[in-house]
Amino acid sequence: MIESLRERLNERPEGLSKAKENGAKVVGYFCPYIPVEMIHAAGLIPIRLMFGGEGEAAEAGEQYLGPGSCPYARACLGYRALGENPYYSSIDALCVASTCDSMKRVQDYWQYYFKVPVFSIGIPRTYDRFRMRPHALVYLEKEFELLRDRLESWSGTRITEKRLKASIRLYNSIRLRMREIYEPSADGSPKIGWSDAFEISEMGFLLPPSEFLAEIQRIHERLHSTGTAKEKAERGARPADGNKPRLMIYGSNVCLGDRKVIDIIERAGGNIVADAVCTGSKFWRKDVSTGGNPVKALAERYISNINCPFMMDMGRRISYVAKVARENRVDGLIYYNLRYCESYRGELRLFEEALKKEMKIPLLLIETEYSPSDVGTITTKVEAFLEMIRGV
Amino acid sequence: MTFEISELVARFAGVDIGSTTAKAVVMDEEGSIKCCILPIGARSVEAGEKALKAALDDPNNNTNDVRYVVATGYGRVLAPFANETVTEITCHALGAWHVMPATRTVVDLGGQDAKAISLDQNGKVIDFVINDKCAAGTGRFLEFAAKLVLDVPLEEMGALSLTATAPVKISSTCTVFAQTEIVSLLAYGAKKEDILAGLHRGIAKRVGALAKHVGVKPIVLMTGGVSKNIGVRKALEEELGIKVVVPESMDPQLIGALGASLIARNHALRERPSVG
Repeated sequence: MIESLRERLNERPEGLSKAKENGAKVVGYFCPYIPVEMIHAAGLIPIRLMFGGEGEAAEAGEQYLGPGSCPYARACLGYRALGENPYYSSIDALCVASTCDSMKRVQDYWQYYFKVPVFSIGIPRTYDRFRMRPHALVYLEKEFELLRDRLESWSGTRITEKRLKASIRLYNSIRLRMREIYEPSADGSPKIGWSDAFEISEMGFLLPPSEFLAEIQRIHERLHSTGTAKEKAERGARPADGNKPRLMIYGSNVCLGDRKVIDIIERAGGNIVADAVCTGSKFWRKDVSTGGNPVKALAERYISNINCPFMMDMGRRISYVAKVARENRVDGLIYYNLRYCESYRGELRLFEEALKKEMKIPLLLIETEYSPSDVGTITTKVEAFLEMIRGV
Repeated sequence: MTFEISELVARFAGVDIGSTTAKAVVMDEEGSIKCCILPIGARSVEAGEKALKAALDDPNNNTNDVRYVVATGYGRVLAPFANETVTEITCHALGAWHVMPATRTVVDLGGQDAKAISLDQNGKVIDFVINDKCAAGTGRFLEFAAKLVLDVPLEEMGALSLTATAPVKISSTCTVFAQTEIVSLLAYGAKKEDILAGLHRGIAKRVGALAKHVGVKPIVLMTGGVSKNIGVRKALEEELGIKVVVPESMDPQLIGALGASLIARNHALRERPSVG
């Protein structure tokens, strides 16, 4: 089902270097707050730098950040320092959202040591649970305008309203297709395994958007063609998953290459059906409005749809997680925390209590880094959690 | 499935292969129990098998009557003699519930990990926490401090610590750092019992935090090798402000294996519903 996409991804580094030879410029970003539409509208190539799971990359980052810092942030520096990952090496400029402290340091070091221009945007905090603070929106819109101006002068391409709207429509089409692929069929059965949907969306952060859209159109067509049970099973919706505990994964980045915890869960007999992590469904869950001022539309979309613990009010985020969990009939929540990420870890206790009250489902904290040393302990925790849910 | 009922009483076994010891509990259909605890050495699975054989206690080495074996503990995944593996969390909850049905909180302090489990009136796990990868403040750490640094036999350290008059404060539960701390305390003339009492308090704080995470509901049952240390138990009582009991009818190190044997019995009988 997704082999063709994987092939595309294998060819991507070569395509990227060819494009660069022809004068194209690559803009890297880390966070789902970055309006990728704007980078695209400037004729630049957006690449989301979200690799992880490799101890070497995190270790290489320790020459800049201490060993007690976020492993993802360390890897963001380490990959570039090692020079072995073609995406990190291809970056000509960075777009960084000023969210957590770790990401601010990543921005500083890229600028200082890797001599890469950084376009930073400020993200306002939006504390109220039920209502967006109107001045927060004004601020984000101004920041997006500034980003537009800077990208324009750096690239030499004017981001006209027409160009920006075209990019918005392109990414909206991708979001729509992703939702259609990911969301369960009318009878509640999944069209595709979560693991595959997640991998597809991760590949989308690296491939050219029009190419990616064509690929997921094909996947979408295959999923919606009627077929036998066997064909359906081959497409990823495994009937055997029926009795397994249904889990949702919430928390920090689950990066491309960071399969440790997901593999442990699946080996132990857990069935991940939904996510709310920085790298997953956050991207495709809501479109950007195509009417009116496109910069304002972008600000409106990005300000209220990224459930980041650093920026978004906790009550609002819990409501979102509970909604997704309910829609997917989740039996338990995996709280995936990259060690030292206090943005997530700090609110665990409140989050757990609220979730239990609202959902009556248990939560399991998995705290880990990019090293295999804790596979045994995590396996025991996950197995015990599954035994607790389904009984022995 | 047809089943010929032999003249032997069927037996079911639970084997808990931990980091320091292997424990086996063999139970028959009436629930009467035989058990064995062995040090683990370098080969954990072999120790598990040895403990199982010793607990079976059959002079002719006839083990045909063993219907079902459940393995638990760190070494469970490698145990070839097991029909099934179940985590030590589930096993401890069930074992604790079996020896004391009113148990609602289990604090287990083993060789290299610590866990707290909250359970319901049926022995089902409601919530649990396991300490993270390092062995700080667990059995290994105490053993190291007692034997190598303080020269006190492990069995005596609990009672000795209760005679402390001015317990010291030991801020580190990391084996390496605590050693440094203990050595310098000794150099300043601190008494052994005061240092031991300090160590026990440090451990009680650590596992007390785990217990508080799952919610401390009475009865709190303490299991695992360290629960035999009266000093740690008393310190934990102080930390939690609640009575902490240890199993009386059974060695507290065997609770995990006991739970495993109960699961073995349930699962074997479930497959054979005509008998019972």
